[in-house]
Amino acid sequence: MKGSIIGGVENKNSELKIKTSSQRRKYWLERSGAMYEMSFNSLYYYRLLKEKRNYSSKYTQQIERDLHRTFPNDEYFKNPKSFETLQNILTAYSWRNPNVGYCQGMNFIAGRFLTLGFSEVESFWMLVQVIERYLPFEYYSTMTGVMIDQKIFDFLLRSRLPKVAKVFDRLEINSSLITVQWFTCMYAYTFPKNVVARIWDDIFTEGYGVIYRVSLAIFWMAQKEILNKRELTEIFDCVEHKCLSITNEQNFTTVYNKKLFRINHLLLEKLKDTAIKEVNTELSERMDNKLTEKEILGLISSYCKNNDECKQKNLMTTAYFTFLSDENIDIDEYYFDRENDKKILNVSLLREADCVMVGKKNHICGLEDEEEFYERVHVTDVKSSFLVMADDVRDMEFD
Amino acid sequence: MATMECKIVTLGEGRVGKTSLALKYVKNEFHKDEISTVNANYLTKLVQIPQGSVQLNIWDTAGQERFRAIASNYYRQAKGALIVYDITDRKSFDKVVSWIKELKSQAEKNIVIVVAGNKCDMEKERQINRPEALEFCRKMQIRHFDTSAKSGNGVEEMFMELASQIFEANKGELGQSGRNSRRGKITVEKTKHRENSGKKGGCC
Repeated sequence: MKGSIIGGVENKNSELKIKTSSQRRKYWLERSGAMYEMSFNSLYYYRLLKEKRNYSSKYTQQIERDLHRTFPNDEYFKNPKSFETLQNILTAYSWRNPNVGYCQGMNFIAGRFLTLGFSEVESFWMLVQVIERYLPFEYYSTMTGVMIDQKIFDFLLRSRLPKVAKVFDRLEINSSLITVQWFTCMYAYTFPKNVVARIWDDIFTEGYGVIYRVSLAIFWMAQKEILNKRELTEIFDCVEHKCLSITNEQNFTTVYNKKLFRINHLLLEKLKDTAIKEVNTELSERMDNKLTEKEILGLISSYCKNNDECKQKNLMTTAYFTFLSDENIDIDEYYFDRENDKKILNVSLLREADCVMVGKKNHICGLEDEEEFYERVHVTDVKSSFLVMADDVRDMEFD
Repeated sequence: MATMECKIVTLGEGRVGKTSLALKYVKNEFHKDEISTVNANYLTKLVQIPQGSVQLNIWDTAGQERFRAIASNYYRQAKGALIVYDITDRKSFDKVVSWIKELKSQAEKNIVIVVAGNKCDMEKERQINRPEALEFCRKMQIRHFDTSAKSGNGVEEMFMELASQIFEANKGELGQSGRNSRRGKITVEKTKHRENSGKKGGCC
């Protein structure tokens, strides 16, 4: 995956002359690189959909849940066929990049492209570009990128709008409570379509850094009111009203392009370094609260007892655990749904096992690719009673 | 009379109706296809119970697993948790177990938990055996409610129960003057009643 950097690079010349929606479409497709990918991999998208047509994964289920909950009031989604279109795009992406799979927020981004007049395949490639080129690394996958990003924003808020930051401090809350959804959806449903389109013009021109400026601008516009607020609810309401009042894209562009919000590239890099350090510390603190071996085994057996398939076959098997972080265990059968993918798991052998558990920590060994991870820990060699404990996995040598 | 202010979180699998339950209760609104929640929403309501009044500050969280990585913030300092499952979806009930487990190990010691079996207006499609759910909750010593955000069935009762259990569990703190005790703020009642603020669409 092309590693995009947190912040993105900003060029100052954003003299855009986009007047019609078809101009916009063309500009975004070219500028983002989607056009290029599309022309070199013209059949890729359709092939992906065709190949995986009969497969399901935990992502395909999650996607289905969100289809009717993505811009339900937009004219575009009044046509029942459009749900299928959105489903195709998101499903295809989840197969393209299982490391990311599907994350809520992606539905709004893909949906926005559709409602702005992009075709199905164009929207797919735009989504690919957004995730793989524009958003910071580890954004939708483990969300560590989101955490880092929120830290960076917090630093910016402190330096640019110290009074607002002070209010948050006084109330013992973090600005991320409000901003995470803005960031992870790239404002796709924070603002009306025209405003979103204008913001995305700038993102595709200048890079991801625009995202910070927009959030700063919202808080700046709401600053006066925020300063009088004594409670979180009031701040939430006030910020929400402010967002609803932003309907004129031209006016808003001038606000968020103010000098006050411009961010020097070097500064951003510096903030990023600090943010990464802080997030790493937080993550390792959380790991101190990890589950004990006994607790994990308890969870396995309770899962196996309640799982219909296990009951039928009287097996203590088919449980696969993902450690998103040590405090969370996700019981997950994703890999069993991909029976043909022998490279990853030898399913027939696993089915004979008494008890199988694979512990995977947050990108434990720095591998970006889950498949590579499983190849290296030799899950394919699994015979009976195979058990990898979380701690073992952590201490395993990968070379 | 004093008002106890407390934070509660909604938890559960995606599309089980966390947002809908909160919206039904706070604003008496229901949308069939509620927009999916990314990260979290925030709603608040002042509840009168016989013992006093409780201001419920409801953090309505995203259902998707990976938001948990950034969501442990939400149940930190929470005094109550509402775990929701969809009676027509087996998997969503299985998630309840893991949520309870996580809360018991990670959240405040005296956190009050209630479980809602939502969408009970869709009885025909029920996948979770009701006695099974009740038995499970009884063992865990957690109150179980059958709710429907659509009809409003059980919603009021559930939040009332949550509020009064929280009140009971924390009334010790109410006696102290503690204006800003870290474990939940206690403030003297304000004249404002938020539930009637009439704001539209609290869904980000």
